[in-house]
Amino acid sequence: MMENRRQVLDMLAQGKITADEAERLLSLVDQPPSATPGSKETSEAAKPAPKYLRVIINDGDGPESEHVNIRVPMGLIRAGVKLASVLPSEATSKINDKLKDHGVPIDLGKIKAEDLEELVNCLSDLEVDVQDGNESVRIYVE
Amino acid sequence: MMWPPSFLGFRIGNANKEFRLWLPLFLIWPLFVLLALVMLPFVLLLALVLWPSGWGKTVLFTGPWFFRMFCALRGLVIDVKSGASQVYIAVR
Repeated sequence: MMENRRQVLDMLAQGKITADEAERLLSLVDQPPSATPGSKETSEAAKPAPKYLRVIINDGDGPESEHVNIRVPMGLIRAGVKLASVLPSEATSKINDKLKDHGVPIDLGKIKAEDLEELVNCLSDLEVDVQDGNESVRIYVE
Repeated sequence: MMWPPSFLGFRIGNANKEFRLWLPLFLIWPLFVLLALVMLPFVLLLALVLWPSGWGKTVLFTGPWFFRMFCALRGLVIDVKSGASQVYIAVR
């Protein structure tokens, strides 16, 4: 950081930049790296971790209409994954075989908490918004 | 920090009748703590007996898993309306 400040002052002394430009450069040099606007790390760090999965379904406006409003905490998904780690291996393999028989080739033993955190963070961009007249379906993460 | 939910709101009904329930869950926390303390020696013994079969770890960690699931329920809202019928469940 001192080196960068020195370079800015040298450029000012040589007349390569004006005083205003030097001041702007020095303020950027003094900022910590994570505070640089537009940096990927800043945008990823500023994005809050998703807390709830919302499902909102509206089927018309009349007296016989149906409305569904569900809010599921993401913690439930995390806690559910922990169950796989608690089960003994023979039980997990039996469950995997049953799932495979039903066309779901998932290995419960390979689901790790770190992978789940990455999945949950990626879900923060999930948004499903379907509208058909008075009917609507919205699925998103907040 | 995991913190168990404090209230449970429950409402189910239709145009003719409705059933409402509002439970202050924080009042029953001490009962659960007491029950856990009473059950702890039995759980440890059972885990020890079942450890060679591979189920000991499951027995030992089932209680903490249920507690984690219970804490994760905080914020759950289910609100379903169909005509005049409604089911509402909220855990806060």
